[in-house]
Amino acid sequence: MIHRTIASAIGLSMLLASGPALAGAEYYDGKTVTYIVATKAGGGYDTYGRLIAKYMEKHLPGSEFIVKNVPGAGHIIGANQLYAAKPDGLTIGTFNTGLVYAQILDRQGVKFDLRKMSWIGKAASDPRAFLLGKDAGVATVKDLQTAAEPIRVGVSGVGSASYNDTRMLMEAIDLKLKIIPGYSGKEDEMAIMRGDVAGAFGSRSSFQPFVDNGYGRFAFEVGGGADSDLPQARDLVTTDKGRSLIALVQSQTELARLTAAPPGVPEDILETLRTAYRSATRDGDLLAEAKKLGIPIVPLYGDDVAEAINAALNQSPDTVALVASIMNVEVKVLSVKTDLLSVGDKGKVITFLSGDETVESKVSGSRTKIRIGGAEGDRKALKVGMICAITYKPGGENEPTTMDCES
Amino acid sequence: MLAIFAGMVAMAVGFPAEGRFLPFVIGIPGTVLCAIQLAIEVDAARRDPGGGLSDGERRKLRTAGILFCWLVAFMTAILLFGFLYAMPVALFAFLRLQQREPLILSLALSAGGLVGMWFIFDVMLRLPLHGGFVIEWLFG
Amino acid sequence: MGLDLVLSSLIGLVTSPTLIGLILIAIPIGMFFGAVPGLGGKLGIVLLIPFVFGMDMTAGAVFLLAMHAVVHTGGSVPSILFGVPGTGPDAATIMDGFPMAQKGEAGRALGASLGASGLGGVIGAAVLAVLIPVLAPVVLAFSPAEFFLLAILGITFIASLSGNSLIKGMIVGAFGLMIAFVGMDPQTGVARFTFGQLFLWDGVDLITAILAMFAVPEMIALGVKGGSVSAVTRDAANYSIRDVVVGMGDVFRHWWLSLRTSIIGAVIGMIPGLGGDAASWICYGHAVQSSKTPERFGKGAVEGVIAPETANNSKEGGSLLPTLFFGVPGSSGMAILLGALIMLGIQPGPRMIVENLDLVWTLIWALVLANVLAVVMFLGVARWVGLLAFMRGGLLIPFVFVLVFLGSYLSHGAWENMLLILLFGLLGYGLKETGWPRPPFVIGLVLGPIAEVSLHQAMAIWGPAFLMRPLSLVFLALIGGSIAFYLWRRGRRRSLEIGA
Repeated sequence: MIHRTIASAIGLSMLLASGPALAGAEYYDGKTVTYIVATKAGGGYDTYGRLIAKYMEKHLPGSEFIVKNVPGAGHIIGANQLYAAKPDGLTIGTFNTGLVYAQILDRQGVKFDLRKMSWIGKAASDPRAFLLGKDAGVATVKDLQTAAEPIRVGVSGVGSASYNDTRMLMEAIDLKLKIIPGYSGKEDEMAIMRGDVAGAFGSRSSFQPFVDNGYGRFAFEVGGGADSDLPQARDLVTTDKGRSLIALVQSQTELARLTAAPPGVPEDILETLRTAYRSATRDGDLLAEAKKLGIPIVPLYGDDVAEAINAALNQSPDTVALVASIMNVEVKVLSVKTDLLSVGDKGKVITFLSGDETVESKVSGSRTKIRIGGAEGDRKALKVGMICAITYKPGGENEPTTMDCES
Repeated sequence: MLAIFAGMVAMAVGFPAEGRFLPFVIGIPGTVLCAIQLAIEVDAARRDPGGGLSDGERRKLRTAGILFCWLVAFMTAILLFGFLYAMPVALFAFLRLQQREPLILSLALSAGGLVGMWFIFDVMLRLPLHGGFVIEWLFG
Repeated sequence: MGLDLVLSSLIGLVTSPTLIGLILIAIPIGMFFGAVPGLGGKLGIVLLIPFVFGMDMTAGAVFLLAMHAVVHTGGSVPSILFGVPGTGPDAATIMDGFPMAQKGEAGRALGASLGASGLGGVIGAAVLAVLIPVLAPVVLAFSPAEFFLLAILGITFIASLSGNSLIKGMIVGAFGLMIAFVGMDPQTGVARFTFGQLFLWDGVDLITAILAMFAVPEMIALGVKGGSVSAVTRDAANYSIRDVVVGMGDVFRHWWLSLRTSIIGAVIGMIPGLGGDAASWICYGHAVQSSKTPERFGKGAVEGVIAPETANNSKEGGSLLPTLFFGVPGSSGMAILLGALIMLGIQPGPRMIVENLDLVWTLIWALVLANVLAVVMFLGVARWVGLLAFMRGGLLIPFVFVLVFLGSYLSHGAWENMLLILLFGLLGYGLKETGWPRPPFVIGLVLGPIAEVSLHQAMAIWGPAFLMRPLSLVFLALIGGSIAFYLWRRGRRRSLEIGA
């Protein structure tokens, strides 16, 4: 009933063709929207993608949504393709939030910049939990920290999201674990049943049936709400370093099932998409369907998502270096956009904020490429308060490779 | 034939340098086996220097080459113009030019293929196929 | 397990017009998803989920299960007729199915595949029913140590599949293994042999490789030869359903083989992590090795059709076991089916046996009925489908070329794979023309990743001592036996040749 009212209201306003916001909705009449899912058909991302696409179609009258699976390279291919698509609002899509790691660490093959994406929304908060088999002989965080022999845990592969998260946890809360890679899909659960491995770390909602069936229990959780029944990783950390690592993992649990458009989508069209996304995720039918599918819907919209993504990307050089060492990856460059806090010694030494940390950086006269106000510039012209996009090599003298400053 | 041996040996030699445990375990014996087989073949070839291709064999290779070129043409057309547009044109071209089928039959089969593909993938399954680089560039 | 429950479920199923109607609708859909290269049962479920949404629990589950169960019944059709596999597990059927079509026995091959699929499906369901009480110990007995040895056992079949030259077979097999190592290494996170290409991170797509290695060379050879797939021209009117029935009879004539491969298929399906491709190739290898006349294989031996086709249908019953009773899916297809079942309101898990046993039996019977009805339904059209093998090659070739690219694109969605088709197609044609065996390549490609991953896992978990596990010893004995048997038979054949 309500939908019909809304639909007729939209229909009426389309007849009148008035108001800038509605001009956007009209834009989609008779258009085909491609929704890119960065995995093969089937599985979590595909389920969410198809659900969101179905209901966005409903809330953009006259539009047709087509789901396109673009799998490969751990979501990187799909994200690249989405990023490179024409920013006309007719290509949107979803991929793993874990690509934040890929961007921070500047992984090979990454051709996107999450900062520049046009964010539409996210559909879920998906707390992750540490699952242990019922006969594993370990049950609590304490057991994991004090084990005499490292406890075996399964992950899908080195470099995968589950591997990255597990490594981060080992470091942050000092777990004694031995990682066994090669368990893809639900093979980790079977391995736990056999006793090959004692546990695994991953999405709580996907492990929940396993626990309900009595095969295992959760030791602790990352990203659970205040009312959660499990110990929270954020309360288990004792060091600053640990806290920043857990915060990074947690930010990803909160930003699950993203929907984004390529950079540069016109303001009004992006707004229309966001509105449709908002209506879709509040649609009673979608919520009912999600409930049946057993997938949580905890949405967040537009700029809030963009901010959260930027916060996750803006890690201090120390954290990045730490993450890099944990993942055994060499970090080449970091990039931030920030204002200069101080400029000393004729522009040879500058400080600026990177993430939540102040960085002192030695500007090279020959190697650092400086642009000021679009024109080639010199380090002597740098001034306190200038807003600069800085890329620099973390560690040592933090030497910038490029600085693009507004005059 | 020797080119394939050489190619496989080269590949097998190229692999282990990059690989780890198992690629070594497989790659090195693979290389040795290739070398043995090569030796056998060379030995056989030396004993029987008859060599040279007969006319029939040459004609066979030529036809295979032409067909392979068609395969490349099909692929290029699909990559550039997408399945939906490239397929009927490629089908028609092949049937008419290569096979010299009657015009009506060629047209009918190509059109049938087009309708079938459009109906199955566009209407029924709503599965997006490769759109073609030129088409995507032109129409976004 | 009361017999009355078993029977009442069956009666409930066959007396419900809705359920029978749904099965009858599901069968052609499932066979269609199998027969179009690159689609497959997984995608079938994903695309059908919107239609079952809101259906009654039993009806929805029966519909999806029936659809998924007969995918490989349809998948063997293009394998036999054009040498184009409809799905990965149906690729093994090309080995002898396509040569049978070339000999003018397309109808018989279709009949054999149909009968084998039906029988395999039914036996798979029976295995499912029988193993319910002893499920946990059986499924949990197989660990990475056993996966590794099972993969090695499969790899030793390369010897039997090598034809005349063991060296050639081993080279091609090693090459398949090397190709299997392409991609992101799960042990180290290093991209191996990818040449900086992202689409190779997940390895070389199996469907793409098989299409290129088999379908492309066969079509080029057909073009060179001229005429139709079937070398024997037969009057279309002369071609009758009798061929199909003869083929179905073959399945029962080789009943001992059919039974063995059905059970092997069901067991492999039951163990998570091996997959349907491994099941059908291992069964094909087993058929060749256990045959008294292995030299007939690859040239149109009907057993070569029966073995993989029984296996890929029986594995469905097997893979339902962990899915339904642990709530842990045995394959990615089952993972999607599991999701759909949950959506329908079914909670798979150990409580199924206690609380929902009637539903379990309904599903088992649905599996049986779908497999049997698929045979009956397809029997009606098999005759006409078989005629395609007598179609002029010139008309067939361009369509198969398009199907090859389409199948590759549908299965992985990367346009770069089309370039791989050219590369492997050329290689495949070269191998075919120079008389090198191609099956070892696929064996290597299918079993390579299983062998590598499970070896590393077994080493990490138990160290070299994993070879001393009881079940490992059994497999070691099997591997030794397999090699010894091969050598013995080779020796005997040689002495026979000398004697003659």
